[in-house]
Amino acid sequence: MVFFWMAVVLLSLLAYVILDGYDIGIGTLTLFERDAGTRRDMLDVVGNVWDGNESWLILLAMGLWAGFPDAYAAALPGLYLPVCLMLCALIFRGFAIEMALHRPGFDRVWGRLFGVGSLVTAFAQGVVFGGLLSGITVVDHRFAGRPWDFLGHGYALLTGCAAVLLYIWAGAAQLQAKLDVDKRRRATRQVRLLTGPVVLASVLSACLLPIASNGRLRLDGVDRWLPFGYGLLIAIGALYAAWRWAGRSPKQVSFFAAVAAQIGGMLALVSLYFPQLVPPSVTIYSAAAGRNTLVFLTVMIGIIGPGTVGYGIYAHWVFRSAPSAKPVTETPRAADGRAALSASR
Amino acid sequence: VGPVIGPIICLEALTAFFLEAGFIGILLYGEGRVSRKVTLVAACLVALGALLSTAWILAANSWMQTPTGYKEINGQFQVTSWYHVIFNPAFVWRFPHQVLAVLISAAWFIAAIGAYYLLKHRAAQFARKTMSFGLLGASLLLPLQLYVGDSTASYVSAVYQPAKVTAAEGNFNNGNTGWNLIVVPNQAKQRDDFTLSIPHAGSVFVFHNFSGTTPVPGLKLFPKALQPPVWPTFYGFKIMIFAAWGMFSVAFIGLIMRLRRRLFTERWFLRLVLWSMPVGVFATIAGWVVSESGRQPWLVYGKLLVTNSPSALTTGELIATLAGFWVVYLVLFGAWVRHVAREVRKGPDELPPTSAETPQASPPTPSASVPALAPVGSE
Repeated sequence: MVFFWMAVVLLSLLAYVILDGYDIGIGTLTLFERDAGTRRDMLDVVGNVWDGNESWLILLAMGLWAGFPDAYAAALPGLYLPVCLMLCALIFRGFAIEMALHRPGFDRVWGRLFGVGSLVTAFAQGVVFGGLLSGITVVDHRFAGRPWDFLGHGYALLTGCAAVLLYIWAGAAQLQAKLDVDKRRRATRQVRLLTGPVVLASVLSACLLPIASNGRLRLDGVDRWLPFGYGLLIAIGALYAAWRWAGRSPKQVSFFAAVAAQIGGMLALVSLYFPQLVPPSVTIYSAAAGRNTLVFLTVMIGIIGPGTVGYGIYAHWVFRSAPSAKPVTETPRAADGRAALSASR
Repeated sequence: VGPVIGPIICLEALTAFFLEAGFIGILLYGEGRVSRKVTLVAACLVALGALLSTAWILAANSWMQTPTGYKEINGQFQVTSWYHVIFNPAFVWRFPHQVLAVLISAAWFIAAIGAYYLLKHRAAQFARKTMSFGLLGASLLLPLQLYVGDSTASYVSAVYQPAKVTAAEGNFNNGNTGWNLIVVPNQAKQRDDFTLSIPHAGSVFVFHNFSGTTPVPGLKLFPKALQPPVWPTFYGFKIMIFAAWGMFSVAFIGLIMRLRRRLFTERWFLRLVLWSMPVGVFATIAGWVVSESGRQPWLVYGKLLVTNSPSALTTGELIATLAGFWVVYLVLFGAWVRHVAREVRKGPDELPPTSAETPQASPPTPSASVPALAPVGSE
């Protein structure tokens, strides 16, 4: 039961990083795009799905709270400042994109704020993750460190930058599949260009991890190094594939390779840390909620979960094509009705 | 508290958030990609998600007001019956109370926007439809809400949280049969420095005793350490009540106007509706002030004191982050109000015969606030 619930939490983390990762990345990329038309298309790519993508973050946090209350109680105070920064940025970002989408063309103020909000979100998430990996002081089920401990001698700043790079890279990989042919070229170049820095940041973070972390990283036993090795291989292969297929047909390959790279990295990390949930002292066994609660949650997720995933996929499938490839019969909607009218004149 | 509240909120995320978030994209931007039938289904599912969200949140909050279905093991609340945790005594009344509150607030908002256009002599057909629909909704729901609200107070607060009721009525001593309109409470000295009250009305409102002789109990029944603060509880309650009665009266006048066929022409009435636009929202917020300040000093009513449940965070962290959230929310709220006001001023198109639901942006408005036309990226 504990295993199952850990899998739920890890899968929601993975789903969140994959899904919101790319839309945060696209948001950040709007800061670097000069052509207003392309920027508008980028907003449209994100606009339909960001809300659903971010629901995974809520499921992650709430799954942790419900299933592993002790881990939540230890991690949240320890990472309070970056988590709050992230939440503020997320709120700002969500608001800004709705405002920008309700204006015709690319709204300068809200569009920019959306970009900045995305950038801050990505960085804060990297800091949170780095702070978690480097360990949180817990004494007697409670956080016992100081407010700025999460920085871990700057390791969290490094992971913050790594997260920004990773998200931008995934975002570019998604864009080169979603945009029109003529607008796709730049995104393709970005994927190619960014693969190097992403590799560099990941390798650097990984090499410094044993020094920065006071968690117990172990690779003894076949049940650890085998999944670790697989994870590493998948990540390396996927990074290459994302680079190789950027801008080539079939155009979705690059993005799915980016997804595979994230899955591989996660697999490697989990096999290093398992069973620590909040390193070094809180494990999935010590933090798990009572059996009664876990059974209730598992039954509910068994009933509701498949439907949730199903319509999540449906929502993405509806918006699978490029934002500008809408059928011509479309009636102008409230948001850009005025612009559409002016275009039809 | 974690083992009880955690799963409830987790289920909210699972059922409500995903439903709402998954389909709102299809609802707002799916036009042209999905059929009208799918759009309708998406709209229904978004509404269902919102309703489920309300239900779960109120279940969690109500459990903290009237905890049932648990046992305490080593100071931890462990659930014994999820049915009793979710359908706790407060939830059963507070859920309809909250749903009605937001529906009335929304209906009032809609009516006020209709009134605005009627006053400006713009978009007459749309305005009439909007105002008529909003006021009709409000006049149907308001009597129901007065009943549900009264029941929430009598069957939940009075039974499970008597201190909340006494604080809301603003008496320290037993024996007052009047209904206090204004009090200046002095909680340190356990008395009211000033009161203005309607004689015998308190007995009528609190106990439904129409001879007006049953005295309303006072806060001195409870030890000073367990008394809720009177200021927010009393005035929150009064604001909520007066807002509800005010809206009820306006809706009633509206009904008379409708029968006399002057609903859309009587300018003072239109102005009244327009200026009372946010009253429903005020009432809702005031109601939450009552429910949350009236349950002090308990976090889980009767079981866990707020002072016994702080986190490991420092005061500095809390102040900094709270200030941060305040700033973000205030800025965004300001921007939102500006945006809505501008959209309203821009006005709807005259309704096209095919779609009667979405107000469309209209090009030939004389308003100066319309920004320069910018080309859309997609041609």
